[in-house]
Amino acid sequence: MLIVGKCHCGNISFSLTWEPEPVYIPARACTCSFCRKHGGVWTSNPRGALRILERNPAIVSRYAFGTKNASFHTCAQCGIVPVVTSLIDGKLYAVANVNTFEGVDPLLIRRESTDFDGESEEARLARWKRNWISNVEHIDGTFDR
Amino acid sequence: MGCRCFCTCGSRGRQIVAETLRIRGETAGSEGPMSSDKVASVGTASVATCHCGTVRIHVRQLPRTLTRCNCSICRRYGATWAYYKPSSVKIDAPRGALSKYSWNRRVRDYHRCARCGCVTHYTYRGKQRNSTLGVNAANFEPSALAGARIRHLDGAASWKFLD
Repeated sequence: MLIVGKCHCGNISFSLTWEPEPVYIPARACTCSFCRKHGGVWTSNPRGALRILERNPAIVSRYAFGTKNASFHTCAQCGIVPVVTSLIDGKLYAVANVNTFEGVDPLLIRRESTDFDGESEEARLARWKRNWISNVEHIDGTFDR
Repeated sequence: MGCRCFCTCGSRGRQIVAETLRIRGETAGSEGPMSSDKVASVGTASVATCHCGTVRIHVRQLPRTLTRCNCSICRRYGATWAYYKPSSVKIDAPRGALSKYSWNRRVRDYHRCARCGCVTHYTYRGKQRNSTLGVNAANFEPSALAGARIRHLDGAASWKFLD
């Protein structure tokens, strides 16, 4: 299944190839203070492939907090956060925000709350390596405009 | 130059809200589409704060009714709106701390913290500017919203509540 998504103004877009065809798409409403305030609902498939296109990277902010392991790609024009990436051991991992999907049947998305409060940094990175999308390509669209 | 948003921080920079807060206790009026919202009195001001703490929105009364909307912008922001009269809300933000976004007919401005990106509120533009101010209730402490009813607005299509 090919899922496409974007921020509201279209500066950040992505395509997520979900294989095999999903019975449902798990979506995690993280309860940490940042995700709660941002309304972020994240999904990932370790066997998926994510292509992130930033048409104008100059107006993409990358907010990080806490351990600063995760980079929240926020469009500085419309304020939407379509993806989060993390560089772990030199490899890029990512999750995508289901709120930014385009044309995906909502019934396919199964939302659940998660609480990783108290998890060590080491355990968190190991979990991300295990569960996040590991095939991530980040495309700078500066020269395509 | 004053703040570009529809807030009261103006050219004075960060307000000392404790000193200047003049809250009249109004709730959403009859002008806006969300006039049925009711609020619960809590006696003291409550604050909705962005993640980095730069922007603080003070309201006198916590909302009892919240709205989630499925339109293209609200679903992406993941926002949960609480509606107020602009005069009953104080926005405490240093000059330049807020970014805003509007599109198409530019009916509303959506304001967010320029640093952490948290969407804090929206305001109407033009003639409607005094009608309703939407505060993103996701920035309140969750415990402050216990028991609040969440309604679902079909902003993507019919512009009617689904429940």
